[in-house]
Order: sequence, then structure tokens, then C-alpha cells
Amino acid sequence: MNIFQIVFITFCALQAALSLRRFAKTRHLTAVVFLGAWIAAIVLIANPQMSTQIANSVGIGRGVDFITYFLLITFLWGHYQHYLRYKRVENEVTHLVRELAIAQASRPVARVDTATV
Amino acid sequence: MKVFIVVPAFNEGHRLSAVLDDLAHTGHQVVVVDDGSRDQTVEVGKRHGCYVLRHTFNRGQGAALQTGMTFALREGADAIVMFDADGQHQTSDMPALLEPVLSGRVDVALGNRFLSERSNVPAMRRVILQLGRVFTWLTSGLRVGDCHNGYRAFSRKGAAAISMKQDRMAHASEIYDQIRAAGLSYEEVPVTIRYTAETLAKGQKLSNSVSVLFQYLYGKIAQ
Repeated sequence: MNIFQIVFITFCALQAALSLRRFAKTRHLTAVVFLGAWIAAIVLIANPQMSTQIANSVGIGRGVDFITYFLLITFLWGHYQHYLRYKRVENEVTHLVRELAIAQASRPVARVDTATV
Repeated sequence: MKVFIVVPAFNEGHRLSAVLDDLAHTGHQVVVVDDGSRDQTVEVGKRHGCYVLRHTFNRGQGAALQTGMTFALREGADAIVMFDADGQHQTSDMPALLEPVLSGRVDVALGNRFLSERSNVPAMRRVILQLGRVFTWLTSGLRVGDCHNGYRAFSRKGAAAISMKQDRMAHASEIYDQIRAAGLSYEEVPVTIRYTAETLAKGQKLSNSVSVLFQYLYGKIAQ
């Protein structure tokens, strides 16, 4: 095992432990997804040839290409999910601002002649 | 018939006064929706005897219009007119714009600047708006002669069927989608839009049309 593998596997193991601690009690599915991702990273770092084997099995030549495609799709999916959440929050903020504006609406009083103001 | 005129305003204090002076002559209720301005927009609205609603912070023209429409509907409006705060719209066009709605002929009356010979639409804007018309036809199926014209009138039924989620300028495209989706009847009415150096400077830049396009498409994805 080289220095790169030691450093990155340690990092991934720490992240896996943190994910477990953070989500295990409240969000079980999130905990499983994060734990699975970190464990997969550990396995791939410990066995570099494995990514190439997986790539070959799905018709992609190089392991690094497989990982690039996988990360690209994951990133786009994550971006889309964040965008949906952002839009939802934006709509909720607008709704709150709107209801506040309506609740505090200033009603017409007798028009003041602008020439005297 | 209870008619409400909704005027969204963002930092329009200096131009708003003349617009509200004009609107006072229509005899209709005026709702100024201040979209988080930092100037005297609220004071000007109050001074002119209007309803004044204030967004705590800026949410965009679409959000401000929807706030005004929601308020007007809750106040029992029979018809609602959207009117810009920058002086581009003419109150003299309002009776013609309201007529198809108040007579019960249609749910929505859409202002069309190209039907009026007095509109001084700059050449480049004319081209962009024509492209916008084609885009509107492709996306919403509405064959309108103008697009993104903010001068519109709604019957109570029409206004109740509209619920804008696009807070910023893309609401103008979203309205067409909702008119189509709700099966609202509509009619185009000639209105004069007067462009001045000042309104062109503050109004929609041509480069913004790409931004509006992306807002609209992103909004469609998020629905």
C-alpha cells in the first residue's frame, strides 16, 4: 500500500464514521448512501485495478473514464436536486414576504394634494 | 364593478408620482406594490391615496404582481389591471383594455403595442419581441401579436386562475402558459408603449432576454 492509498483511505474512513455519526439516528437512508459511497471509495482506492475491471464489464475502456462518467452524472443529479430545493425555498420566501405585505397593507386615506407636500 | 390597478414598483419614487396622478383620474382602486425599494416609493403611494403593500425585500416584478393580484382578489376585485410604474403605459388605453373583460367577453385582455401606431418601439427591441412571439407560440401554444407586454387586464375568474411562481421577469412567459393551461379566453387590445431614454435605461435590456429565457426554462424544469 503506498502513501497515497494510506492517506486517502484514512480520510474516507473518517468521513464514513462522521456520516454514520451524523445521520444514523435521524436519516437512515442518507446514512446508508453516504456510508456506501465512502466504503466504495475505500475499496476502489485499495484495489486500483477494480475500477478498470468494472469499466471493462460495462464496455468502457479505462477505469478512470468510468469514474469520470460516474462523478459527472452524480454531480449533475446533485446539482439538480439542490436547484429544486433552492426553488422551493425561494417560493416559500416569496410566499412569506407576500403574506406579510398583505397583512400590513396600508389602506387609502384621503389623497394629499402633491402641490402642498 | 370593482376594478383594481396593480402597480409594481422598485425604486420608482421619482417617476411614480406622475403615473399615480394619471391613474387617479381613472376612478379605480390603485394598489402600489413596493418591491423592497430604498427610495420614497411607499411615501409617494400613500400620498396619492393608494393601497400600498411593501415587500420586506426585493422579490422581483412577477412576485410583486402576484402579491397585488392576490390582495385585489381578497378585496373583492371584479377586474384587475397590471400597470407599469415607469410611465410607459397610457391610462388613455385603459377603457379599451378593460372593455372586453368587463363586458364578460373574455377572461384576459392582453395589450399589444404593435397594434398601436403611436408606440415607438426601437428596432432592436422589435426584433427581440418578434422572436419572443415565436417562442411563446412554441412553448405555450398562444399565437399572440406581442409578448412580454405588461399592460394586461384580467376578469376575476382570469386572475384567480393565474398563480405566478416565476418571481422575476420570466413571469411574463409563465402567464401565457397559465392562460393556455387554464383554458382562459383572451383578446389582444392595441396599447401605446412610449419608450424614453430613461425607461430604456432602467427597463429590460436586450441582453436580459437570454437571462429571462433561462429563468423560464429552469422554472419549467423545477415544476
